[in-house]
Amino acid sequence: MRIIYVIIKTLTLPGAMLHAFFEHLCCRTSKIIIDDERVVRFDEMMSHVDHDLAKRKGPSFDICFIPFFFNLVIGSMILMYGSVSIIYFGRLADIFGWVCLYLGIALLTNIFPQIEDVMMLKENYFLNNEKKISKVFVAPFYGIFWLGARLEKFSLTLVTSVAFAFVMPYILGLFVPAIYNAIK
Amino acid sequence: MDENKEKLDGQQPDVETDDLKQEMEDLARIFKEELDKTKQEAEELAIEELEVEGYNPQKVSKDDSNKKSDEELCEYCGERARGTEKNPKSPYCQECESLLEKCPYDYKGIIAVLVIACITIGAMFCFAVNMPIFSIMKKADKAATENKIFTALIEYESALEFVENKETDHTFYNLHEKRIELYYDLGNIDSVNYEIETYLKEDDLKLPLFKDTREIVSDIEAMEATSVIIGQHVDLNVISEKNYQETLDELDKLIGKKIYVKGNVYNDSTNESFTPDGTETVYDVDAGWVYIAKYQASVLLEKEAKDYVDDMEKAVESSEFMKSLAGYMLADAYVKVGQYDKAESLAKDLKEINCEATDYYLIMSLVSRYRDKDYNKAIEYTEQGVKALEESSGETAFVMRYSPVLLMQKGINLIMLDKNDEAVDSINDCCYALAETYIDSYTTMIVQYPQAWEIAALVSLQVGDNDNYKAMEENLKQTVEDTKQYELDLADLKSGAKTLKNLVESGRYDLI
Repeated sequence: MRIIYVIIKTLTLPGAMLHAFFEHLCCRTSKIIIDDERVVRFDEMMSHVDHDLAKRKGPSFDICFIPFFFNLVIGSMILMYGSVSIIYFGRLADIFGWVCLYLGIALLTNIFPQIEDVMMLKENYFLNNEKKISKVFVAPFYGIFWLGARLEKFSLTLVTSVAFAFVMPYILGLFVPAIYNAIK
Repeated sequence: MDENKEKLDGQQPDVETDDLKQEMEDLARIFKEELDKTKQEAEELAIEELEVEGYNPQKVSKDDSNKKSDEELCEYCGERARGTEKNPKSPYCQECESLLEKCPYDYKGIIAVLVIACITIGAMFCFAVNMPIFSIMKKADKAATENKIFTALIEYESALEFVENKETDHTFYNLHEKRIELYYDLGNIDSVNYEIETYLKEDDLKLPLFKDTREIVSDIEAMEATSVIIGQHVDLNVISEKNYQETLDELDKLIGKKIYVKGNVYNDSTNESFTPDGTETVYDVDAGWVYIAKYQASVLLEKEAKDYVDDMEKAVESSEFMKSLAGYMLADAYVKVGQYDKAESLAKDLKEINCEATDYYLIMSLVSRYRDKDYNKAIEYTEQGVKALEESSGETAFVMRYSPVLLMQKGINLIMLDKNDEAVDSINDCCYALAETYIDSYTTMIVQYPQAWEIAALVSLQVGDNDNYKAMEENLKQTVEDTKQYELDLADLKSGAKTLKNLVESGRYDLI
């Protein structure tokens, strides 16, 4: 499983690097000690930076959410053109379209945090008797992160991101024509 | 011996137990001494280390009852006091602060971010440029899923114009594939061939995404090969009552046979002298096309509908394509043999293929006229059909081919209601629509549909519009060689032997 994980991460290297970069950024801003700052490494820590566990609530959420959010947004923006050009239009000679399709899939394959960070998020927010509204806000994210981290562990995020690339034109079809008509 | 043995057995265990007990006690004593010694050493060492860091055991013992609060401890480790030499107000201790600051960014990550940022901007720009085409194609897709094939084709046409105006080198394969499939659904082989020849290269069809198109092309090639083979076996131009049955038998023999094509040479498996060498392209004879040929033979000899309705049924059942192509002809045959329910059911099937096609309205108009004698309802159906065409912006040729038949039906129903003044307008519109359909070949249309010009002349004569009567008759006589039937109908009308109603009731002017 580890070999498959490393192969998938190597295939989606730009996404892995970007995720590691945002995780590093988050560690710096949240004051979490980083033990190994490399963004390119070929082991089970690929796409993550080796850091201490976040002991406080805010940083434990940030370290899961910020890399997830940026990879998701940037990946979707790039994938929009790639999937429309290659999958929907069938413009097979569009090299930039292929680049965008690959990069979009690579970024979306590497959006989820590592399971240890998700467990820390759970510990900081849910394994105490505090009654706070933040639990309600964090709960859906925790669910997404937990599921995503599990999928990533089994290298299934590549499958989900490829599936997302095929579904993307249908999702865009729900609102892009309306936006275009409004602009026109 | 036994006594000694008993003594030994009774004494020996006591000696062993005592020795073992003594030994265990010695070991316990040694272990305790060593443990105490190690503890003592560890405590001394710990005190020494703390003293090095400035720990005052006396002071601490005083402060034990007054421990430091969380606000005073390092925010990160929670063990040491906050503050560093540089920043005494820092929430971190000296050690943690130095650890937090020692992690520089990997330059590879920064490069990746910069490259991806540039690509993101480029992708968004390209997407914005292609947004109009995407929006138009999505609109067309929606129409196609709702079975509005005319609307879908018109929208795809707009998308294609947009692409051509952009002068891009990239072929929009999916756009062409969708157009090809819709043209095929409409039964329009010419447009399918035009699309493939104009926009696609030979190798393009080998791409995986053209799987459905390859099947369409194969079907069309089989139909074309079947047409050639039919031409080799029978000549419908010289069909007569004498060779009618012989022709039908010859056509029947072709069903289920193979066609071998090599270049321009076509052979079939009925030819016993031909032996395939394995280099030919092999097709199955398209049975639907053979049944259509049988229908044509019957129509050319003006046979009654009951003679060919079975063949037409088999043709329509052979494929969805044939249903689109010949569905309304079968429905017309059903109407003529009085099987109105079947005609109605077929009309509904055709509406499911293309809800904008006028086939449904045309068939329902015929059913209303022949079965119910409800001419007003029949006119209503024709008007709905024309409206449906207008709503799908019926400017294109494939839409126009439906409107003349509807206009003629409306005219005929108006005649049945004795509204000849209105009928003449509708029939004139039908002639103009026919002429517009094939604007380059006006005369061809008169030759193909002389009945339209004939009835236009007859109705004009009936309402006293002599100018129109003369114009229509002149057009007719200049282009059509055989006007015998027209002359007979005209004579009957003039003599009063037949009325206009009698003439249109024969079904000769239905244009189907």
